[in-house]
Amino acid sequence: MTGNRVAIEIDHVCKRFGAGEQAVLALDHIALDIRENEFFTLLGPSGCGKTTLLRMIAGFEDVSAGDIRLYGASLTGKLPFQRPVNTVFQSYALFPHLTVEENIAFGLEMRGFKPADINPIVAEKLELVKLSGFARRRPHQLSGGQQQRVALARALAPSPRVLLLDESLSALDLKLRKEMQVELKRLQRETGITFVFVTHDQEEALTMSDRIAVMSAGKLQQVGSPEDIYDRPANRFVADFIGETSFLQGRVADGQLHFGVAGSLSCQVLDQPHDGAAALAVRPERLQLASSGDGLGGVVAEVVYRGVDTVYLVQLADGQPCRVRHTNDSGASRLARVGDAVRVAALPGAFHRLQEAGHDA
Amino acid sequence: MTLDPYRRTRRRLLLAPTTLTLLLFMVLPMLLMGWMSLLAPDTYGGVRWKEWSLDAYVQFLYERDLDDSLTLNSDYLQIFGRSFLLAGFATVVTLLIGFPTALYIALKEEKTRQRLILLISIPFWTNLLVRTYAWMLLLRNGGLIDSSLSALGLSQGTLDVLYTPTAVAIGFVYSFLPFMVLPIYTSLEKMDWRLVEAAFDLGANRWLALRRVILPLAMPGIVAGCLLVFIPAIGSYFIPELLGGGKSLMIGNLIQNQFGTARNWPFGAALSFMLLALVLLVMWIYTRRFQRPPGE
Repeated sequence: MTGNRVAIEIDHVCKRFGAGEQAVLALDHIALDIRENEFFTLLGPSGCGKTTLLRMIAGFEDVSAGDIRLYGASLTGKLPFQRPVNTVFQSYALFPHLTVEENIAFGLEMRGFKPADINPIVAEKLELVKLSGFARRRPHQLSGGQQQRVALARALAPSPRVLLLDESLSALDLKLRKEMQVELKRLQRETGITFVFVTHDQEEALTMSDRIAVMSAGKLQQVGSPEDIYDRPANRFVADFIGETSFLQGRVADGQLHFGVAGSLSCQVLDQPHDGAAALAVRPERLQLASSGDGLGGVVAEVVYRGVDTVYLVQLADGQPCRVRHTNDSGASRLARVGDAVRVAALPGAFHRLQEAGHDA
Repeated sequence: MTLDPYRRTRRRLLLAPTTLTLLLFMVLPMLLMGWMSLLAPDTYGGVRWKEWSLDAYVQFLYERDLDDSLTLNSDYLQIFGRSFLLAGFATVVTLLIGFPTALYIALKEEKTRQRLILLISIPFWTNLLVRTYAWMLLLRNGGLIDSSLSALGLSQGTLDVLYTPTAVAIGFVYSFLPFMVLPIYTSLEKMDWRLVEAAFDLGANRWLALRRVILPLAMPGIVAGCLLVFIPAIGSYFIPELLGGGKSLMIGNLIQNQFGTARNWPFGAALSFMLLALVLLVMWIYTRRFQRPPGE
């Protein structure tokens, strides 16, 4: 579904807060393209600059350096109401003095639609977010999830070229959040509008996005599909931030991995097969416990039962810790107990070699 | 809600001081005034306690000629009309000045806001009577304003503004402006400015955001401010007395006259009730129209 046209071009954008010696660089030369009809997510811990970047696209923050272009046209100097983008705010920011339908009609009225044209659009958007019976209610009479839907309908009503969503699901409880994730994805598919979503929740990002930009401390860490980001993290930060990861030090020789531990591990490093020391990232679900045979020797230090799965924290013989995850589908929920000597085996392609200046000897 | 007898008794006891105060200082004097307005005046002030009469209310609209026939007399109605207009004018002008002022303060940083609000409330530290005398000095012929204007060649002859309704209006606007600014500021200060951001985001320019979002949300403060200006203004006594020079009488002066030199207490009491009725009527219409958020 994702087209190849570029909707938003973020061209080496910087944001400086303050001036002189105390100036803080909140965004450091961010460059990325957001494509048309794409569900694009800006992901990062709080304070990484993702919301600032979103507010720059909306027009609420100035760009200190660089440029943001929407379909080739620079947005610099355009005020928020002059930009064909709409925002779903974290707090929803619904107008408390207006009913649900008046809230949704607001953007249409501001853009000069005639009353006769507004009503069908409002009805259509209400249906889209499944709130048809709630037109006359006021925001305070709605639940959090319903308010969220009204905010979505209001932002979608003027048919923006890009919809910006600022941590829009974070105020909802877990169950509702899961529902809304599916809902948002559906809305994006049905409307064909480019969504730019900001979140600190990596699971949310992986679930919904076509592509993800991972940010940290004002810098862009990696841009790619959820699979790219999860399977081939560009650096230690991304590997650590997305999902669970164990970091191990090994050596590559003749395309094979070696560890300073008794026992062998027949595992190839495919992406960077050059010889030398290697900083490796490995997901717990791609390691397995084996009682004998192939594998790295170690001792179980901790067992964490989590319902669907059990995580074993294994201290390898050379002291490096790693996590091994087994799903509890076979009924055998305890493969090993604390203190057991085990061997850790790996699935093919489990190890990902990180490009890291400091750790590459 | 039903309460058990013990809790009900306790609640009544707790409310007793307030209830007693209201009864003694509010309800009782009102009843006394109502009673007085229905009695005949005594020769040297006071009332004849056993002589019932509706004359006080008749006198408001009619003049009793020597032959006991009644002719319509609009003098008092005119005074009511003038009071209404002056108070209304003061309300509109203080609103026009007060709203932008309150908005300006509310948009400043926390520290600056506190400083500006302090400046707004500084006049309260001096007596209003003294400040009104100061205005007399400013406005009189040969006063600061008059002489400055002549010196600058901006006026021929004298200013002639003191002891006119204009001077009363100036005095009103000056005295009551803080009562307009403060409640509006309070409602703007607790406003969620992200709503204004949302309005901009949805395509509203500054004017539309003001009209469609800020004004409706500030409405409780605006209503409160208007009532806080209008009600004291329409009943005010010494501002028209000092700045109007007794030439542009307002209701307050008229009432004072009845209890003073005119020695017609029943008429004074009746006028007070008319004023009360007028204020209640205005409040009723006004709150019905504006208190509810528009669109309901």
